[in-house]
Amino acid sequence: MANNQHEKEAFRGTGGLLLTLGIELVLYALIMAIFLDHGGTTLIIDVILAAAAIVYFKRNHALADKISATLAANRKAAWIGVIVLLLAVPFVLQASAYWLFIVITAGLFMMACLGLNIQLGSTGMMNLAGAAFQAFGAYTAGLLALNYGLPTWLTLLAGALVTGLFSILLFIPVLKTKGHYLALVTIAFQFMVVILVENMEWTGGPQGLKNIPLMNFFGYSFNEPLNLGFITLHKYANYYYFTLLLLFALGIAAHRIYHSWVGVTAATIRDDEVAAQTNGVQVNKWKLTLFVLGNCFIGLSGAFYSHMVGFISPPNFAFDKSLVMVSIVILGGMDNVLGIILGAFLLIILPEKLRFIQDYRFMIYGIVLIVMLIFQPRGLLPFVPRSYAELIQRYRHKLLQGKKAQGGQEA
Amino acid sequence: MSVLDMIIQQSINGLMLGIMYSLVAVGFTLYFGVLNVINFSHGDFFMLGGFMALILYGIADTLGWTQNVPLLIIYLFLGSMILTALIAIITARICVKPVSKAPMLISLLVTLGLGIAIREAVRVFYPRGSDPKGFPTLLPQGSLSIGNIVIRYENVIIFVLGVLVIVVVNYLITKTKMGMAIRAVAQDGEAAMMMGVDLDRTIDITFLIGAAVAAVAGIMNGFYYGQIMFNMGAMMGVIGFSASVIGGLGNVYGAIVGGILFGLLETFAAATLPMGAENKRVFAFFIVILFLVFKPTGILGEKVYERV
Repeated sequence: MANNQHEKEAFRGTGGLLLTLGIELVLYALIMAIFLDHGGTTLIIDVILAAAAIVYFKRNHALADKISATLAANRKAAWIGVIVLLLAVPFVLQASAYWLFIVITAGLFMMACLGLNIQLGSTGMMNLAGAAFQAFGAYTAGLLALNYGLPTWLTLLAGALVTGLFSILLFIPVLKTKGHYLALVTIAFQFMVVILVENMEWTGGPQGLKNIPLMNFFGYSFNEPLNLGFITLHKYANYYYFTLLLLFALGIAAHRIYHSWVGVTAATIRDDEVAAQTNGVQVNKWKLTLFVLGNCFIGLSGAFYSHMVGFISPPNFAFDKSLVMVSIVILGGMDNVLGIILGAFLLIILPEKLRFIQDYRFMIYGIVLIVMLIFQPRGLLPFVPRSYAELIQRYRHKLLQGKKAQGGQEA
Repeated sequence: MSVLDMIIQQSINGLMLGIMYSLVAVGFTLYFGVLNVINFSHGDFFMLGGFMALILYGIADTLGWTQNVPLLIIYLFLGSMILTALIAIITARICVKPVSKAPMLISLLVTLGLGIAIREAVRVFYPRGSDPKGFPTLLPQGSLSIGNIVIRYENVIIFVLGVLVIVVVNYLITKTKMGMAIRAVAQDGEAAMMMGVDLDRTIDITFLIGAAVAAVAGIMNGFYYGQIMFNMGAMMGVIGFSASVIGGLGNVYGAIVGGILFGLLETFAAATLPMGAENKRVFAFFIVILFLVFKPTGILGEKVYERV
């Protein structure tokens, strides 16, 4: 019923459509302005605007509700608008390839964090070895491409799968420990992997792997500028569009998992493992499956990275990076795909902009992390508990079918 | 060099390292007992101890107080302990205490963030902080040989000092009133408060002891390796936490046993395994993971049953 009420409150018709697109366009312009501005003025203005908007909407709930209802009512148009605007990013950032590169990096973090979110947000399994799993993906792809000259699509796939396989190494600790202890297991694993990679011959040791072939799909090299006929975009545009494609695919996959029985199973495990087990949930099976699945996402992002930059070395996969990934998931809001996007934007792109305070960057990063977690411990976009009414609605026909089948058998 | 000699020699080296790890592990165990928080910034208090001593040495050097070496060493230790403990208490009040009731994830990330902030503050504000810093050699150099076994005087002093600190901490916790308060809060915070224990004060004292002991370890580390670096706390934090878990989290003796065990594991791995020197920590962490899986309560921990 709540849905209907919202629809009544929404701005209807063309006005609503224009408002939706207008909001998107304004937000987009504000964000792109940050990249295009060489100094930090726009950033400061944006932060002030964002703070003002938050304060205003907190006081004026009615308007906020109305706007969100309008967005919900124009869902299709809103998505089309978002896609068009995202496709336009390389055009806008034509002159500043550096920022396009940063945006892609943030995209790779989002990819990894989608996987981490399956583990941490949905199932409640701590994983502070994200960077180590990324290293598995990156080194697998790099070594396969360097030593055997395998094509990119295969090395990317292999990177994801091998990472999944290696994460099975950790299955006993993951199933048998939780809380602080699981955190320690993953931290120990993270350090072990980095030390081993640094000391082994065939991984290139501290020098890492150089000259990894850049992406090349069936003869189309990503290293060439993207020529669209009327305009020639920087070569990073290739990577950008591919990242976007992968993110959409993985995002949809994560969304489907969240809204399936697997997602519900994960939620029961997170909320109360013992209760889940007593109710017949196969806790161990699902924990392992979701852990491996999440690591596949992380491994894919690592493989992508090695093919984009062409050079990987152990410091690329240090503990700090794992920490950043976990921070993105928690700061954005657990079990929430939108939160991950916001978190990656805040933790990857903004610090890059803060280069004008150079040296103090990481210190400020630490302080901001502390302040945000103390004042907003549930993340910027706190996760909304599932509505089981909605879930039953969604699966109603399935449940009814099941009942009918049962009834038929009994009769 | 016979096998026996090797074992004795490595045991001595391992004990030396282990006592340092124990001092860091004690802090983890104390905080966990009182606040139920794993303080991942603890490794950075260890680092801070080393840098405080370096700053104090710089001051003493410019004032020309370096003639009387024993007095200088005492001044370095006491000064660094006090300063580090002060910083620990302040940071604990600001960011560790508020999150002690929050979910474990939050406290974990906040303390990790605190560690980053401290580490980076040292790097930024200490002159040329990104480089390794040489540590003054104040302890007597030279060594004593018994047969094939070589014992450096420096190591003997560090070891004795470490044992001394542990004895003092043990005395403070078991024999004094504030130690009793710490143990009472560790057992049941609310009940302790009802019996008139000042919770805030107890937490402050816990951080004071933990950070001061870590600072001692930091200075010992400086004397042992001859140089310190702003980011050495991260690894030490993980080692200290591992040691306290091997020993049994929440048990001070456990932390000491765990620290020494970790030190022995490292030195024996370095001496006996192929490529051991580089991969000694891989081996040690592997053993830690085995402990976590098969004996998560540690060597001296009590068995905890999960309540449903």
